[in-house]
Amino acid sequence: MHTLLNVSSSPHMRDKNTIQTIMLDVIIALIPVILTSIYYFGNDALILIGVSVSSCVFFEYIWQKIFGQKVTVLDLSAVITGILLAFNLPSQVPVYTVVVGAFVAIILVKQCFGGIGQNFLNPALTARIFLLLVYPVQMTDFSAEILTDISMDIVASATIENDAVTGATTTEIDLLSGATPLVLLDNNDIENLPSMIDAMTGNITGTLGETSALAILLGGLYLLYKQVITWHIPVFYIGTIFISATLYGGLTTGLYHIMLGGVMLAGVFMLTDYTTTPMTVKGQIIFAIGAGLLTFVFRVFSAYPAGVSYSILFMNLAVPLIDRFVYNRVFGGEKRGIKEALKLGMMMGIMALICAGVLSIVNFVTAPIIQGKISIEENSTLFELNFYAEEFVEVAFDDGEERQVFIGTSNGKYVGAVVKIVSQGYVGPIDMLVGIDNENLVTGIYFLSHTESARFGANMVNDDFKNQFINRKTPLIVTKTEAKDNEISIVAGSTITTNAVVSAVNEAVEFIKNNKNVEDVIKSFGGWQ
Amino acid sequence: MQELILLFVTISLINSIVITDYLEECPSVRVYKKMEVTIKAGCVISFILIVSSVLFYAMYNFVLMPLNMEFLRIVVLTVLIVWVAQMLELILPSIQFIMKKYMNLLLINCILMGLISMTIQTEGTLIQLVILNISSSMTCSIISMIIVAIAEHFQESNIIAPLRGLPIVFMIAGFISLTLLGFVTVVQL
Amino acid sequence: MLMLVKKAKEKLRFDDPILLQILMLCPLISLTNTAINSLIMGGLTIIVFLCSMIIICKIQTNIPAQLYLFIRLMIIASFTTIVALIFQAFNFEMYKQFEIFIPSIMVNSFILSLCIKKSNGLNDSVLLSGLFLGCVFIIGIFREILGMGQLFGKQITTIYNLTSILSLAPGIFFLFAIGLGIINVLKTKIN
Repeated sequence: MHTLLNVSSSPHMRDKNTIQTIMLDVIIALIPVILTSIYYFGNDALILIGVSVSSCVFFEYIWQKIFGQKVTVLDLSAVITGILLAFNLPSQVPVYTVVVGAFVAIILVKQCFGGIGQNFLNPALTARIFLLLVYPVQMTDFSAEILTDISMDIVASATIENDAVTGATTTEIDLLSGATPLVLLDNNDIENLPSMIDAMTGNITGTLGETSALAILLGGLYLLYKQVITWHIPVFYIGTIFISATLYGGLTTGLYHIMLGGVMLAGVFMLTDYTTTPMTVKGQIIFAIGAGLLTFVFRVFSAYPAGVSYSILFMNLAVPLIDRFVYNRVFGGEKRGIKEALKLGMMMGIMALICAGVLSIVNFVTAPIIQGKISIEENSTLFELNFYAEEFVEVAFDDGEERQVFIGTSNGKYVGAVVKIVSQGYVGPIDMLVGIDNENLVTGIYFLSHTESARFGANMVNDDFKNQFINRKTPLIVTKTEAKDNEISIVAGSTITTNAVVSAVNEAVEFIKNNKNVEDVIKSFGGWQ
Repeated sequence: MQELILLFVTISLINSIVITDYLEECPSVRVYKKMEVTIKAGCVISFILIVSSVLFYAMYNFVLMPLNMEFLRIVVLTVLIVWVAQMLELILPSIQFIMKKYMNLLLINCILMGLISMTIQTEGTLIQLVILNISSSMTCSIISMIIVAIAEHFQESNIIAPLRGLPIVFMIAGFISLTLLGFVTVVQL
Repeated sequence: MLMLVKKAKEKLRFDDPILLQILMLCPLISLTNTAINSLIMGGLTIIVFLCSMIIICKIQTNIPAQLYLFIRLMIIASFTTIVALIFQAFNFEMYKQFEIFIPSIMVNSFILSLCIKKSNGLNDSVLLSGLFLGCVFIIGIFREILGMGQLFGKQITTIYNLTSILSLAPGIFFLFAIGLGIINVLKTKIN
């Protein structure tokens, strides 16, 4: 009895050297991506990767020292977590964000559960969604110092509405708020997307690691060659997304979907983490297809760049279930295994549907109630937006545009108007009222309904944003800095939402100012006072 | 919506903790029994919820509303749930073991979820009420199954002593709620 | 303080591990975002709990065993309705916010009632409700200060983004995990 049997769960590594060799291989595979990220993002990338790796190693060391465990820092797994974590962050995040992320990834996800091989969620991805919750603004700030000339043009044209931002010439732009190409793809804006070559090599905005598909592919091929990963998971994952995207919108859409948004990074490096995948090949295939489908569903519903992360984490949660039902030696009998696996497959499919069902039903239920409240609010708001009017008359203009115009009168004379206008925000349509007085200044705005993300675009309903519009003359321009004469500062972290709101306001006032029919109507009310 | 997520995860957490009884005792046979118990408990909860919600709908719309006694709805729903649960215990002998041992737990679940769906959905069709109940109970059972499966996974691992048992299950629940929270924020139907 | 806890341990049914676990999860179920919310929720729960215990303790000798659960639940449900209606009448605005937590009030009272041994009902109930309210309130204060930097609505510290996670759902779970871990450490140190 001089050897003790070592009972542990997967992976069953026999000694430290084996782990170290594998980890070394992964680091070598990651080198192409590191190089491209430094090339495109400059010193920021270097700093981020350095801080991330060192804090991960530091936290693991401290934990193991405090709790008297064997210090396993040399097996390089913390280094890899550090690199992958850095790859999930935009280049402009402050340093403390990275340290917090490292804490979550190493201590909360890995060490609390028992160290290497014991985590049930991917550490880097969990840290990412944790950071998204805690530091939402910093994590979605994709402005970056773009180094090459070619990319400047492309990014400038990708963010069309920012043309008028500072009136700066293209050669002078050093900070561009990149609406990630993913948003454009979601809006089916194919012409403005970066070209395929740029998407492949990485000349686009995004987090550090997800830009260059080519570099990731190189790394993946190296890993396959060294037999560190098997081909099943990446191929099935990327394949599922490609096929669903092609079925959804055609071949180019399909190709773009797999190039953008971190699909490659996830497929090759995140999903293949040993400890969070099922133990059998069948299970791995189910895992990969499930993750692919979930990712695609996320993509269809919103262009949130972290959609990939959430779907992978979801599937990670389900892995023990998959294992339990697919790996069936203990039960014995192939037939039973198949039945269990089918049952599992059905359950997986039902899971997402059910969550969607609950949410949609609750939404369905509450929507009419909210609608009712809105129509009441609409009426009283009209008077709030236009103090001098005593009465509002709705006038219809049949030019096919989706707007309603309420002409406000006092003593039968025109004092102003309120236009109800719909514009396309980041997630969905924004329904708003714009008040205009008889000198064509904006008296204020009011949001009737919107589906913008909470903590981002949804902050537009706060008074300090809305108050910027009072007594302003159009045309208004969006700016990220202090607002001057005819500028509006953005809602934190939501350029697109702000652009949508401002363009709607501009459009409403233009309509009242210049439209011939409106002029006639106003003249019929006795003209401008 | 966040509160709903919190509630679902809490309910599932209670379920899984109670059913797995602290996880420190782990003869391997009993491990697989835990998953079966979880599944059966989930089915029982769903069944009780569906039947009682149908009965509640009938009682609410045909008895309470005409008599202007809507304020009695909490009491009526509770009574219906307990009645259905006890009927079930008498009729089906195969699940009597589960029912007897975990009666309190099952009742807590059913009442909580039944009352919540009643509060959310006071007017509306029967189908909506039933679907809401089914979805919430199935979501909770699936989350419980996930927690039980993950927790089984950790029985042989070297978690540090203070964290063994209950705290680690809490951390699991924390991560699950983190993921679900993001899911809800991103997918805004 | 320790004497009180010891006394509580003997009198209430803390030996049953299932109930112990359920009880510990009670404060989670109510939404303890701010101190005031948790105070109101805790207060309402113990009102319902105490009122029902008064009646249950009086009646319990007269009920046959099968109906025990039934009667208990019915009484708790009735008191919940009463409390909800009074709340609705008093302050409709606030009621609208708390409406969705009425079910959790009821379930919490039920859980609390499970802990009371049959013999010495009322005294134990008071003790338990005191403990419960105390716990909920402390958690509420904790979450409010760390999560939002306020206390009863007044800004005390600046909001650190990091601790604002406490005001969201995952935060409480992690908090509980860490707390229970610390309790375990203390337990081993004491023994």
